[in-house]
Amino acid sequence: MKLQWLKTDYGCPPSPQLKGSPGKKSYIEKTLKGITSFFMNGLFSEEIISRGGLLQSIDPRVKVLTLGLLVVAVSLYKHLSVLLIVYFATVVLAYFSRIGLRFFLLRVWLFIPLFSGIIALPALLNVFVPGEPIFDLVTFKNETALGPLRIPGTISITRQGAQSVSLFIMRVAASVSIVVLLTLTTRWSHLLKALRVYRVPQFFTFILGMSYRYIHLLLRQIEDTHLARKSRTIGREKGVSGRTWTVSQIKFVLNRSMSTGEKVYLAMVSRGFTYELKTMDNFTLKPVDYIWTAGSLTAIAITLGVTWI
Amino acid sequence: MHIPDGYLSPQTYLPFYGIMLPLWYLGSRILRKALNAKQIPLLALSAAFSFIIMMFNIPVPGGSSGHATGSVLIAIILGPWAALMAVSMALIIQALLFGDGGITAIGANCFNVAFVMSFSGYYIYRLLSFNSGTNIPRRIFAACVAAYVSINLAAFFTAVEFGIQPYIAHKADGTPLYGPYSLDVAVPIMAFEHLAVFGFIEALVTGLVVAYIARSDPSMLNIPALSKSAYQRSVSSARRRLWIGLGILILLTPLGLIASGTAWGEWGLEEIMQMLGFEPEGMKNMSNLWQSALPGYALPGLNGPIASVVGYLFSAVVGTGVVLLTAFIISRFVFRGR
Amino acid sequence: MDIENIFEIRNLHYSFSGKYTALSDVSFDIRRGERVVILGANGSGKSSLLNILDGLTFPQKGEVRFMGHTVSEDILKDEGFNRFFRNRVGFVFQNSDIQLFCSTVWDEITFGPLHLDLHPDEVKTRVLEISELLGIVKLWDRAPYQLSGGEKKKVAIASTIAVNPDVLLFDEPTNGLDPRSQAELVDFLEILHKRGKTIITSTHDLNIARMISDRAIVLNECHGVETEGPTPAILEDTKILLKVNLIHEHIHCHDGEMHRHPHGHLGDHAHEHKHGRGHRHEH
Repeated sequence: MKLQWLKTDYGCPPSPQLKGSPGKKSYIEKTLKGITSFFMNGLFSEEIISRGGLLQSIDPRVKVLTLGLLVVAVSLYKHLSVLLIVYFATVVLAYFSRIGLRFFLLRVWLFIPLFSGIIALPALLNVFVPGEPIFDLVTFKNETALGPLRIPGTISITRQGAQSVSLFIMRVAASVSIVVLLTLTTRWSHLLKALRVYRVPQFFTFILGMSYRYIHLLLRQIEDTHLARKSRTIGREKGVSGRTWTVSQIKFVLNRSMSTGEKVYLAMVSRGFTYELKTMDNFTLKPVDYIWTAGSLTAIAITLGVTWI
Repeated sequence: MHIPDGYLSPQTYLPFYGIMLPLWYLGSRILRKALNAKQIPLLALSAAFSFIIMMFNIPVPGGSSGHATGSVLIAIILGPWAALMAVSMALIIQALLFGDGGITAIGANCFNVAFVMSFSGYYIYRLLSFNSGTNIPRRIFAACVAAYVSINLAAFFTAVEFGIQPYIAHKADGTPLYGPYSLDVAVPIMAFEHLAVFGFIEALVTGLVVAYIARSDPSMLNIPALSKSAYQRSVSSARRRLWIGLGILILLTPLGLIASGTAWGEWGLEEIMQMLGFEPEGMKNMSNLWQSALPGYALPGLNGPIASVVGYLFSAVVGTGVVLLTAFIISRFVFRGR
Repeated sequence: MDIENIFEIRNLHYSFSGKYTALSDVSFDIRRGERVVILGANGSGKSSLLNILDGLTFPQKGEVRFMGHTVSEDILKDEGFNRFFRNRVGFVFQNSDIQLFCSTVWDEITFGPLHLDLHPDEVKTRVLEISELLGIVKLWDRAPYQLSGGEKKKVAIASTIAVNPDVLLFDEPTNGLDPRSQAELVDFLEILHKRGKTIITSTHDLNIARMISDRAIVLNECHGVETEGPTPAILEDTKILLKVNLIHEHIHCHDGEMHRHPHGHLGDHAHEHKHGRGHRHEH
C-alpha cells in the first residue's frame, strides 16, 4: 500500500526554548504592523464618528472649509502665543467631540511633531541659528569649520534658536491636530463629497475614493497570504527569505492592482458608465453648521488680525 | 521625504500648488486621450499600488529599514503622466487620512515625489535602456540607476524647499518662522541620507520588480516576448555583467560627487554665477521684486540663499551628469549584445 | 416588435490572448422570461460566456444577437445602443469586491441609475425600495470593505437591480454564501422571475440549479455545449454530469436529493449500495 507516511502520531510537544531578544522586530513585522495600524485607524475613526460629539454633528462641507482655513491660518501665524491658543482649542474640540484625550494626544504627537521636535533640537544652538546667546554650553579655542558649517568659538543656546524651535514644533503640532480632528470625525466618503462642493473635480474625488477602497482589499489579501505563509513556516525567518517575501508581495500587489483595474472597468461599463462620472449627494445644512461657521471664521479672523497688526 | 504641515511658509507652498494644478489638469487630459474611460479604474488601482509600496519596509545593510516611493517603477510601467497622477493620489490619501503628509505641503510633496521623480526616472530609464530590445539585464540596470538618481533629485528639491525657509521667512531679530535649518545644513543631510540609504532601497525595489515583469509579462515593458529558456539564458549569462555594471557605478559615483563637491567648494560663487550668466544687478532687482510681492518677510540677500541655491544646483547638475554619463557608458559597453 | 428570443448565440469562439480557449463553438437561445442555468465545472468557460452576454468582452468568432441586434464592440460605442443595452441587461459579478467599486453603499446603488440618466427623484425611490426589500438601508453609509460577504452580495444585487434590467446575469451567485444567505438569494430570484425577468445564472452548484432554473445548458471541459434541456432531466442524467465533471462518483443526485457515499478505501469505485427507495444502482 502506498502513502505509508500518511499515518497519525500526535507525539509529545517539545518544551519551548525562548531565545533571542523578543523586542527586536523584523522589518516584515514592521510592514505588517503598518498594515494593521492602517485598519485600526479606520476602525477607530468609525467608532469615534458613531459617538456623535460636536465635530461629528457638523456638516462635512462646513468642516472641510473651516478646518482647512484654520490650517492655512496656522501656517501664517507669527506668535507662539497664538499657536498655543489654537493648539489648546483643538484639544478642547477633541474633548467636546468625545475623542479620548489620551488617544488624541498620542495620535497627534507620536511620530510627526515628536519627530519634528527631535530634528529641530540642534537649531537651539548658535551653530545653526545665529543670534543672541542666552546660555553658553562649550567654548573652544577658536572657530572651526565642519564641511559647509562654521562652528563658532563658543557654542551656546540662542534666544532666536529657542523661539524658532518652539514656534516650529507648535506650528507642526497645531496643524497635525487640526487634520487629525478632521479625519477622526469625518468619513472618508463624506470628506471627498465635501471636497467636490469646493470644485475639486469629480474625476479626482472619485479616483481617491476608489483607490482607498481597493487599498483595503489589497492589504487584506497581503494579510491573508502572510497568515498562510506563517502557518507553514518552521523556524525563524531569515533575512534573505524576508526580502524575497517583500519583493514577492510587491509583485503580488502589482499584478492584483493591474488585473483588478481591468475588471473594475468592466463592472463600471456594465452599469452604464461611458465617459462622465455622475453622483448624487444628500447633504443639508443645520443651524449648528451656521453657528459653527460664523464662530470659527471669526476666530480665524481675530487670530490673523493679531498676527498682522 | 514627505514634508508635513508647518515646515514650509505660504510663499513656498503656494507656488507649488500653482505648479501642480496645471500639471494635474494636463495629466488628466493626456490620460483621458490615451486610456479614455479606462483611466479611472487604472489610476485608482495604480494609486493603491503606490500607497502600498510606501508601506513596505525594506532592509538596508546595517540593520535599519526604510521604504521606497515606487514613483520610478510606476513611471516605467505606466508612463510618467500616469505615475504623476497615481503617486499624487497616493500622497493626497496619506495627507488627508493620517494628517502626516501635510495638507498645505501637498503641492510641494507632489512636485518632488510625483513629478520630479517620475519624470526624471522615466527619462533616465528611457535613455539608458534605449534600443535595448531583449537585453533584459541592461533594462534592469537602467531601472536601478533611474531610481537611484531620481530619488536623489527629489530629495534635493525637498532639501532646497526646506533649506530656504530661514532666509525667506524670519522675524526682525532673525528668528526663523518655519523650518529652522539653512541650505548649508538641509542639503548635505538630505543628500547623505538619500545617497547612502534611500537611494539603494529605491533602486533595489525598482530593479527587482522590473526583473520580475521582464520575465512574467514582458509586453508591460515593451520587451519582445522571449521564450522561457531564452530568458533564463539571457539572465544567467548576463547576471555577472549586471553586478559588474552596478559595481563600477558604485565605485565611480563618489568620484562624481567629489568632482561636483570641489566645483562648489573651490570656485567662488561669483565665478559660478558669472559662468551661468547671472548679473548681480539683475539679482538685486529680482530681490526687490520679491520683497514688494511679499511684504512683512525679510528678503533673501544676494550672498544668501540665491547664491547657495545656485551653488547647490550647479553641484547637483555636475554630480547627476557624471553619474548618468558613467551609467550610459556602462550600459553601452558592459551590456553589449542582442 | 415581439421577439421571443432575447439572446441568440451562434457558434461562439473565444480565447484569452489568442492562446487559451475559453469557449468553442457555443450556440443556444434564451427566451423571454426564461430561467436558465449554465452548468459547468471550474474552467469550462461560464464566466467568459456571461462576460460576452453582457457585452464586456467580444468573441473572436460567432455572433451574439440581443433582441434581434448583433452585439459588437462597435455597436456598443453608439451611445443610443449602449444605453438601450445597459438598461436591459444587468450583470451580478462573481467577485463582489470587483463590482463594489464606489466609496459607499449609497453611491454604489445610485451609480447605475445615475449613469443611465434617470431622474434623481426616481433614483431615490428605487434605491430606497430595493434597499428595503433586501434589508440594506442601514448599510447606506458604509464602505464596501466594511461589509460581510453576504451583505456585499446583496449590495451588488441591489446596485444591478436598481437599473431595472429585463435580463439578469448572475455569475456563481451562491459562491461563498452561508446557507441562510443562499436561501434569501433563491427567494429573491423567485420574486424577479414573477416580475417577468429573464434570469441567466452560471453555477456548478446542482442543488441551487434545481431551485432557480427551468432549463439548463451544460458546458463540457472542451468549452463547448454538451447538452441542454429541462433542468430536472439534466440533473438526473448522471452520465452527462459525470462526463462534464460536475459530479464525482461519490457525490451525486437521485430523485432530487443529494447523496454522499462514504468509501472505506481509496482507488476502488466498483461497489453496490442500496438507497432508501430501494432501487439498485450500479456505478
